[in-house]
Amino acid sequence: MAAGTETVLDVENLRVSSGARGERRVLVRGVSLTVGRRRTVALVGESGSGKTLTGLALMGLTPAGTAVAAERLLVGGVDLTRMSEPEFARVRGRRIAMVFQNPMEALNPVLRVGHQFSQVLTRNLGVSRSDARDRARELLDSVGVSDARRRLGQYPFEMSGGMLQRMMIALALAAEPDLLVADEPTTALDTTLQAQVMALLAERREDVGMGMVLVSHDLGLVAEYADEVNVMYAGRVVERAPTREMFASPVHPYTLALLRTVREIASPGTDRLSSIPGSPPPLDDPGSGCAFAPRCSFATAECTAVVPELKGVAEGHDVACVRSER
Amino acid sequence: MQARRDELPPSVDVRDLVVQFRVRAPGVGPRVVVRAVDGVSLRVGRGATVGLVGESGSGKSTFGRALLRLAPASGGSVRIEGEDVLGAGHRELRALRQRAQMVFQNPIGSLNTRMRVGRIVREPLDIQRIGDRVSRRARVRELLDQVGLPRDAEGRYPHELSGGQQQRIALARALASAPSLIICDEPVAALDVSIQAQVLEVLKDVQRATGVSYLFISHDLNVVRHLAHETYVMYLGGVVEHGPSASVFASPRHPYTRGLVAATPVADPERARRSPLLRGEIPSPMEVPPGCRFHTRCPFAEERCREEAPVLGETGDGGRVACHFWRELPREDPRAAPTRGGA
Ligand SMILES: Nc1ncnc2c1ncn2[C@@H]1O[C@H](COP(=O)(O)OP(=O)(O)OP(=O)(O)O)[C@@H](O)[C@H]1O
Ligand SMILES: Nc1ncnc2c1ncn2[C@@H]1O[C@H](COP(=O)(O)OP(=O)(O)O)[C@@H](O)[C@H]1O
Ligand code: SF4
Ligand code: SF4
Ligand SMILES: [Mg+2]
Ligand SMILES: [Mg+2]
Repeated sequence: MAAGTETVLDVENLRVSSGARGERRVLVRGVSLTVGRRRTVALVGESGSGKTLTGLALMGLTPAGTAVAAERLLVGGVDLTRMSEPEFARVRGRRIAMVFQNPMEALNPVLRVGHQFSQVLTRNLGVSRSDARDRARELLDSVGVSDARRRLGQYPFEMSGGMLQRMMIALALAAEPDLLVADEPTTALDTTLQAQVMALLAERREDVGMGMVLVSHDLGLVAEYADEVNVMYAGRVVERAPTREMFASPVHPYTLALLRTVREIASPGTDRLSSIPGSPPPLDDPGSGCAFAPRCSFATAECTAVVPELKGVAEGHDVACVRSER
Repeated sequence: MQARRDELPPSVDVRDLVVQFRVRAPGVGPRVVVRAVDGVSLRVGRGATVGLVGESGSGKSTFGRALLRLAPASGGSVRIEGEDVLGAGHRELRALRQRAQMVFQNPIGSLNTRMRVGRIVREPLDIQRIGDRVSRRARVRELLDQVGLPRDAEGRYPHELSGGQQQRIALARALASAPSLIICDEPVAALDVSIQAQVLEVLKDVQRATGVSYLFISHDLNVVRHLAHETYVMYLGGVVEHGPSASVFASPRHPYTRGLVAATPVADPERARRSPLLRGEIPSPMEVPPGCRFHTRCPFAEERCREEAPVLGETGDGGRVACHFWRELPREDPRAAPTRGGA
């Protein structure tokens, strides 16, 4: 991160597990992230690699039956690991906010949208009901929804996905949080709306002055909007670098293969697409040593012996692969 | 071989197809007629792949379904290998649905999850009484091979397999009755990139081996450009542009196609960030704008556009476009615009 940027998220060795003691299954295996104000840090990786669980863990919202642990979890300078449940809940509403892939799931289908805005605003901002109504209109204005009054009177199903996602962004940013976790915020939308919503998020990030964790499996989106990229595989970060560096000189074999495929699909001349053979391991059973070994064309006996650790290969560029350790 | 192919009627020949639904407007409104497909003509040559792109709600799926009478056509004609689909009787329709198959976005939703993979793939052969027990078993093996599934997949249930493998089962099943056409509706949209690449390669392999043709419906321009020889761009029920995929995507003529191309992310941080060229959202098909149906979002719209609907006309280089002013619009690559989005 650039010197002098204020840190809004500092998480060290985040772990998520599920199941009771004795048959505990580890899902996220030690993720560390630092996000500066007005910066966007992306988490990318295949479906099931633990991106969403990581995002939810930052929010304290992992599903029932899961446990979260971390060495350190500082948001806006406040250590959340030392907080009681109710304290955490208060902080969550004001300092961290989340936008989900499917806005429908985040809303109550039988309540008018305006009512749901009021609930959140009176709870998180402590404003009166009538002030909440005015604030809701301002917020919708800030995300480019023009006929705010009519929209607030509608039910979620009466609106398109793009409109709902704008509203969810407005709501998430109501308390001007330090950190926004956006989990595949545009995956359910057409590319045209995707472009609109991403531009909106970038603009609001500047205005509100927050940091952003962008969870996505779309490397194109990440190339355009993130300052730093973290590539996840089987519950770990296997490569981390500033965005330009990641796309110009990727090092981890998984990142290399992923980028190659994306570029081949996008270039019309490609005759045969190279793909990564096989599929990722189950998150709770990544095998011994490097989890990518069964699919890696560079794998040697050494790779299955120990889990490679994230090590620096250049300024701000870390890689977890035995090949880069030499 | 090539010469004979050209003499045969095309795999699909659709003329002026109209599909409409009667729906009730939100609230207590009266029933209105929605034209989801509004006079679309499209051809797929034998052994060819034709792409159909457009935003969600533009009518792509409805069009694809109408080709097999899974959506009600109320006008126009559909011919599959020369045979009339819309006027076909019960028996002919069944035969047609063997020759033309459909593969959907969500593989698990289209597979019977209580059957093992072998039975899922064999079922069309059983129903159509193709071959005997022994030859059907052999054919199932062959089909699994063709889509790159391991032999032991036969004895497993769909939920035990990954998304990419499930999509291959759907494809193997579709291939069982040796169709000459497969309508693929967003077949890789739900898959990760590396798995997408695997499935796309399987589609190409199968085409090389069997000569099947594809109507490939998708909103992912990169995937369509990669796979389709020709592309149709649909907006609000109508075709706005058509041509060889290479030229449609490299030098789009229609303002809508330009907007789609500009909105497609490029995995290259050195490129300037795209600006959202297309403002607003696709209108409801209950309120199709008069004149050019795209005029409410078009940055180049003029008075004439609000009154007169443009026709799909030849561009002179193999393409067709439906816009009054396509000749006069700036020619540059919509992606080259040096805009930095946001602040
Ligand atoms: N409560 C839970 N108990 C056990 N396993 C879980 C639980 N929640 C998630 N998982 C498992 O953790 C894995 C990772 O889930 P997660 O949603 O974080 O993946 P993801 O990287 O966000 O994937 P996608 O790209 O599909 O959204 C999944 O394979 C899932 O099976
Ligand atoms: N059975 C139906 N009844 C009413 N409207 C429908 C029906 N099927 C599709 N539509 C409408 O037709 C339009 C086109 O839909 P669709 O073909 O699914 O678009 P696409 O596949 O391009 O996203 C949409 O506005 C949709 O709501
Ligand atoms: S550690 Fe070995 S198996 Fe893992 S990515 Fe590196 S070379 Fe491949
Ligand atoms: S006819 Fe007019 S409104 Fe329609 S696309 Fe062309 S310029 Fe735009
Ligand atoms: Mg997820
Ligand atoms: Mg569709």
